[in-house]
Amino acid sequence: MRVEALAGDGGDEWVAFSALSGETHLINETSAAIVDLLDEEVPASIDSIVDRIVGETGLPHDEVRLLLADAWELLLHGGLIRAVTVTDHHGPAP
Amino acid sequence: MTTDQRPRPAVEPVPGDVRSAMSGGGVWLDLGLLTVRVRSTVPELAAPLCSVYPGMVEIDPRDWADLHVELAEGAGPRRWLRRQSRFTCDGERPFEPFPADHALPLFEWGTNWVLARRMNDVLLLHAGVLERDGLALVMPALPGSGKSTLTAALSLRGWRLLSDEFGAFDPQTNQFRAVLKPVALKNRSIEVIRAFEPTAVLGPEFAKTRKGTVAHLAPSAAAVALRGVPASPGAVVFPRWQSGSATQWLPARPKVVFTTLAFNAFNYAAMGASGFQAVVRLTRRCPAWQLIYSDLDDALHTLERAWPEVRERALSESAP
Amino acid sequence: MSKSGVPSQLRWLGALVTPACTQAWTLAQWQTVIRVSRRLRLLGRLAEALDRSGLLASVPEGPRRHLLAEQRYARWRTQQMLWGLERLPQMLGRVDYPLVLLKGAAYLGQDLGIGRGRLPSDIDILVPKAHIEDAQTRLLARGWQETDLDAHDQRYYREWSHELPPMRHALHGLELDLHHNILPPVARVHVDASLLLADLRPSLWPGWMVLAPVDQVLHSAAHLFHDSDVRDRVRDLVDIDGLLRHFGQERVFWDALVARARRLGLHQSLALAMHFCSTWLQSPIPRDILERSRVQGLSRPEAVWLIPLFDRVLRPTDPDATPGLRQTWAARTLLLRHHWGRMPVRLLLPHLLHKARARSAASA
Repeated sequence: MRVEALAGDGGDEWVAFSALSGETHLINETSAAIVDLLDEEVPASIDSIVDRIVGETGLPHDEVRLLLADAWELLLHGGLIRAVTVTDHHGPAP
Repeated sequence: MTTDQRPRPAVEPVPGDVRSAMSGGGVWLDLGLLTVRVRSTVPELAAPLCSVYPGMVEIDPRDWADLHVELAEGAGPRRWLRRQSRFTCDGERPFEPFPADHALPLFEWGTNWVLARRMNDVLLLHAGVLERDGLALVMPALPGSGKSTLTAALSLRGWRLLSDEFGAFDPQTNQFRAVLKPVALKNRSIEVIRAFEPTAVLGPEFAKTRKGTVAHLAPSAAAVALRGVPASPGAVVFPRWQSGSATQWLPARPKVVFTTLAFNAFNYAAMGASGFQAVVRLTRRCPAWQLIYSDLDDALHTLERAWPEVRERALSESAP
Repeated sequence: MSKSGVPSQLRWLGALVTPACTQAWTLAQWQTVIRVSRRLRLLGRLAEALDRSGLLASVPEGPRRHLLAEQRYARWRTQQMLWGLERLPQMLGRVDYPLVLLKGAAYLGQDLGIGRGRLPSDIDILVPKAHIEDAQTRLLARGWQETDLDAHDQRYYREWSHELPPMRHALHGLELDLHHNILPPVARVHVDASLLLADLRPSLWPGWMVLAPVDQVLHSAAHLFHDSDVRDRVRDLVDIDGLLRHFGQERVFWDALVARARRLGLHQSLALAMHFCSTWLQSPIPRDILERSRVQGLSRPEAVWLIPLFDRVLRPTDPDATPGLRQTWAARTLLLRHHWGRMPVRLLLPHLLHKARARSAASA
C-alpha cells in the first residue's frame, strides 16, 4: 500500500493505492496520518490510534474519535487497512 | 518498437494494390507503439486508409503484428440492399456492423477499442499528445473540450503528433510513445481545421456516424518519420473551448491533474501499483494549466509562449 | 469413429505443462499461439507458466509484450476476486453451514497452477440449498444487491436453476454467484448435492471449503458438456487436465473418480472429458480407467454421434478463418441438446420464447 503527497509541500492533497483492493483513493491529511500510524506492522485498534493522536496533538478525545470514525469505514472498504483478527484490531494492507 | 526494424517503403502503394493485398494476406501499419495487420473484404476501406495513413501502409508482409484486424462484408438476408461491414479482431467484435461505406470510421474505432484493452504493458492515458523540443504536451480528453481540434491545429503548426487518443506512457522508461493514427475531427471541427489550414490533408467525410459527421486529418511526414521516437513528460493542459471567450491560462491543481489522468485512463486500474506510481510521477513533474479559448490562433500562441517555461522546468527536474 | 492425435492447432497446449518447448518456436508460431490463446482465454495462463519457469524474459519481444500485458491484466482481475472473497466471511458473519469455493476460486484456494492467469469475472460459491436464502439475506444487508431481473427470469433462477441470480456489490461491482448445486435441479441429470456436501475438504483459506477432488473434476466436466455454447471452451479441458495431473498421482483417485461419476449420474460427461483430455492434451489417464469410463459413460450410438459433434465445436478455428458452416451447425445442435437436457419440455418452450423476445427487444 502506498501513500503519496501530490505536491512538494504535502498540503491536503494525498493519494493512496491499495494493492489488496486495487483501488486508488484521494485522501485528506487525517486519513494519511491514520494510515501512517498504522503502517508500523503492529495491528492496532481504533481506540489505541485515537489515544496516540490525542497524545501527540492534545486535541479533545471526542473530536479525534469523530474525525477517525469517518475515515475508518472508507479506509476499510477501500482496502487501505484490513482486519487482521476477528477481534477489533487492524493493520496496514499491502 | 517492433520486432523487425525495416525502413518504411519509399514508394506509396496504389489503392488498387492495397485493396487486393487486404483481401489476401493483408497490409501492415506501424503506429509506433504497436503494429496492426489489416485484412478486408470490404473494398471501401483501401482508398480512405491510404489517404489518412500516408507513408504508413505496407504491402510487404511482416513476420509479426500486434493486432490482427479484419473487416468483413456482412452476411444476411438484406445484404444486397444495404451492404455492411463487420469488425473483428481475433474473436472480438466490439460493435454492431456499420454501413459498408463507413469502413474507415469502423476501422478506426474498432482498432482503438481493441488497442485500449490489450496494450497493458504501458499506461494508456486518454489524451492527445504532441511533442516539442523533446517534451510531451498532454491534453486529457474530456467531453466538450475541443481537444481534437486543438491537437489537429497544433500538429499543423510544427508540433509533432504522437497520438490524438492515446497518451501511451511507458513506466519503465518514463517516456511517451506514439500511437500514430489520424486525428478524428467531428462536425464543426472539420470546417474549422479546413479554414485554419487549407492545405491540410483530410480524408473523406462520413456523415451520420454515431458521433455525427467525421473526417480524419492525416499525420504529417515528420510525425510518420519520427513515430518511433519517444518524448519525455513536459506539461499537462486541459483545453476548454468556450464560444466568444477570451483566452485564459490558469494553473491547475495537482489533485485535478491526478484524478483526471488516473480515472480518465483506459487501463489505469489494470496497471495496478505501476500505474499509480506513474501518474504520481507525472503529476509532480509536469506543470499543468487550464486553457480556455475561443480563438484557435490565440490558443496556439499562448501554448507557444508557455513552452520555454516548460523546458526550463524539465531541465531543472533532470539536473542532478 | 473418433479422431486420434492432437489437432495441429492445439499442439501448443503442451507449453502449459512443459513451457520449455516454447524455446524452439519461431516468431510465426508465436504469432499464432498468441492469437489463438487469447481467444481461448489461455494467454494469461501461458504467461504465468512461462514466468514460473523463468522463461518469460527470453521470449522474443513481440509476443513477450502481450504475455506481460495479459499477465498483468489477469492478475488484476484475480486480485479483485480475491479481495471480494476475503471480505465475504466477514460480511456473512458466523454461520453454521459450509461455504464452498468453486472453479477458479477453488483452484486458487488450493494453490493449484490452473488457478493462475485466469480472467475471473465473478465469484462462484456454493452453500447448502436449505441455507441459501439465509446467505443471501446476510449479503444483502452488507451492501450486495440483486441484479435487475424481470419476474420470469427471477422465477427461472429460483425454481429451475441451481444458482441464484447474480448479485453485485455497490462499492466494487464484483459479481457473486451463489450456487446450491453444480447442475440445475430440473435438468435430465439430477445431481444429489447432499453427496457433494458430505465429502467437502478444507481449502488453504480458513473458513472456506472445496469439493472433493473427484467432484471438482466432475463439476468441470459437467459444466463443459452440459453447457449451451462450447465454442472456444478448450480452457475447461485444460482445467480438467490440470486437476487430473495434480490429483491423479494416487491410483485410488482414478477408481474413485469412475465410481463417483456413476453415483452422481455424470458418467457421460466424464467419458467425454476423458476422451478429449487424453487425445488432445495427453492427460496421463491409466488405460484401463479410460476404457471403463468410456464403457460406463457412452453407448456406441452416443459415442458415434456426440464425440464428432463436440470435436467439431471445441476445436478452435484457424485465427484467419471464420468459423465454417459445419461448426455453426454443430454448435446449434449442441445448443438444442443443452436446452433439451436443461428443462422439461413444458417449461422449455415458454422460456425460449421469453429469451427470444428479450433478445429482439434488446436489439431494437
